[in-house]
Amino acid sequence: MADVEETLRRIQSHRGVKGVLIVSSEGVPIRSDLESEETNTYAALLSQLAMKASSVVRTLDETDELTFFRIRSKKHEIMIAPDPEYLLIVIQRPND
Amino acid sequence: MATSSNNEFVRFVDASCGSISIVTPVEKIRVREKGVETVGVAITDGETSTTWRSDAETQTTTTTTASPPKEEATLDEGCRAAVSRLGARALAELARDDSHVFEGFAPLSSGLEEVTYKYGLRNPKVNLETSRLQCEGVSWNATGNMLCAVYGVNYGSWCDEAGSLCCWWIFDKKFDPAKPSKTLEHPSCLTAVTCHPKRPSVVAVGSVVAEVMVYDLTAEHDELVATSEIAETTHIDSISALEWIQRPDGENDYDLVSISRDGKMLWWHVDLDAKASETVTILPDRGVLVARNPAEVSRPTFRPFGGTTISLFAMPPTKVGPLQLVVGTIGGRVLKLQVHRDGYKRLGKILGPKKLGGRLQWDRAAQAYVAHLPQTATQKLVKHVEQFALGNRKALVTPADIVESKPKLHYIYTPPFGAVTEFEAHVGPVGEVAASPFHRNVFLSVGLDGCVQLFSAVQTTALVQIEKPDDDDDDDVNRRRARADGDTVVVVVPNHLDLDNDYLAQKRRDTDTGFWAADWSKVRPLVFAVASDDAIVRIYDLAVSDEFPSLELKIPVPAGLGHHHLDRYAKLLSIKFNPKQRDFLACGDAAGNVHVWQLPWHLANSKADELQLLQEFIDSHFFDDDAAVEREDDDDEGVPPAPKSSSTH
Repeated sequence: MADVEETLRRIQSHRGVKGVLIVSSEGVPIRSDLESEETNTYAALLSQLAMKASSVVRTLDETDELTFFRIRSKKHEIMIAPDPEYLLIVIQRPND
Repeated sequence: MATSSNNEFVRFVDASCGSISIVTPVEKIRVREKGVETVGVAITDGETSTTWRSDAETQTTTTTTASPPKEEATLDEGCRAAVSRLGARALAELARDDSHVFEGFAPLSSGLEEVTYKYGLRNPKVNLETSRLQCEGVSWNATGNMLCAVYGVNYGSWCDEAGSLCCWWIFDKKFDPAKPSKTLEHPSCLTAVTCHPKRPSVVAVGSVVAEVMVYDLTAEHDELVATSEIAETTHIDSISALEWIQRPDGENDYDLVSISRDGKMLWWHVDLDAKASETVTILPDRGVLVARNPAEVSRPTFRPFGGTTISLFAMPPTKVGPLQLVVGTIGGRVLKLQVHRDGYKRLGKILGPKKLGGRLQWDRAAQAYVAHLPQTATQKLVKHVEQFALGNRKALVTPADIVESKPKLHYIYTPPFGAVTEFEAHVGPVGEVAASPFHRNVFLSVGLDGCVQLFSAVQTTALVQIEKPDDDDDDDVNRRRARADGDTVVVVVPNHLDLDNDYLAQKRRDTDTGFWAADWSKVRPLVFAVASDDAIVRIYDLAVSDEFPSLELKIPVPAGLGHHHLDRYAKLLSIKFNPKQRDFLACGDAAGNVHVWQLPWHLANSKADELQLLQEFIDSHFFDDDAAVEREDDDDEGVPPAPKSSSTH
């Protein structure tokens, strides 16, 4: 399954991308290219937010499903692709 | 080693002789014992530790999930499938060009924005009790890291104190607000300062006794690179303002232009690359007399208008045509002058001495004087100077000869080139004029009459006149003002300083305000700041209101100051936005302080269409009557559509 590595590499090489994390839906980091402390913080906070966000979407419309969401702040943009079991988190610095 | 053991022997002369013989056998015994013990212990230790390590191995597998795994960690099948699915989605999102989504997007301010009073910089030489020195000018250097302030007394009386130039590297680790990073003393009061726009270490300074000086702060020996010679033909009154103006023949080559209360604008050229070990004495290359009508210059009764301030209009990218300058005078006049730049061309590449129609050879610097003069004036000057030079048996004419021959002013200095536009005047001296760095026609003038005027150079009446808002209880005014204030801005001030001093508050209510200085924001085309003599810096945002300031920054003062000290704190004489650190604003006062604020986000970050908003603002404020001047304008874009009426006056 070299294509997985390839996919991750392509994401990482994208302009302005600062970090890529794979996190289990419980918030346990599985893979990351950030510092350990940062990884744990991102994993814990964003898995909770992702869960909340997907429950919001589900509550609004039972047939709907959250597929992706982005958070833009002054410094960063965080993109989250959720899945029942895993989250893919991309942290981008859009101004770079 | 030998000496130290000798010392020990000296101390224990009697006892040590015996002890040496005892020590050696003990050591020998120890060595033997150790040898036996170590072998045994080492073996047992090694065995026990290995068992421990095997325990650790089991732990590492459990921690894989808890501690952040490295890239090499293997992913299980389900995870891999999920990642390739999610990764494709993320890539699609990353690739999506969403730039249009944020077009015209201005980040919402949180409603509570902060403006921080960063520093109160003090020159330790200015003792409020004994010194009358005030901060006459401030300037940020080319990189925005250094703040220069000059100290002197300009208005009202002669200055008998020594002036100084103080520089603070405000982002430096060793920065101390109470101690300038560099202080340069000067025997006379200093009145004007301008940092070089490209070279971070070069500062130009003007003094009350008409000297123009250029300092290079990185110079090894003498920071003073060049100083002007005081003569009848150079300035004869205090220097009001200085400006660096790019020469047409070089990207990084700048002329220094000085304006003085004697009504002359002089061009100085300083060779900053020449590493001269001594201070160079400079003479002006050329000069322009501040006059309204070029013809009156040669009349015997002519007196040029004493200038208080100068500003250069933003240059068209092609850099052709005359320089456009706006000048404010002591009498309150606001004039737009043009200055011809052809002299540089005429001077060309001539390096050696040359005859100028007369009998003598002129050296290059002396030719520079003449290059800018019209033909008729050149003949008069050549005749006058050569008569003097021949009388002194000179073979070569140098600039010194021109000065010493004391020619009439209009022999060596020209009136402004072409027509002079006079704008709506102030009552009393003009505090400062400032041309917009973004628009080629827009400038503002502030005066000691308490009036801020915003002009377009194609109309002689002001587009907008702003006076100090009356603090009456009119609901309407308060409501409009509240709207102008927009979001609440929290001002953060150090604890030991008082923002709401009673005396200053009363002064603000009771007295008329005069404005001493103004500056345009270097990033927001619609924003400018005005320094007044009632201890408030007003920042106007034309996008919000052209009547009320968008932000009022009160000067914080230490507790327990007497009223006459507070009066000096209240008088703000200079103000400058930082050209690079865009949210920094510096303001100097008559008590010798330089206040530095960090502005809130919305005042330091331009919105996408702001230049267009400025143009629309100007267009909507044109008068549609005869007051408008029709101008044969050589420039096209950047000029609002000319008013319909033709000039009838």
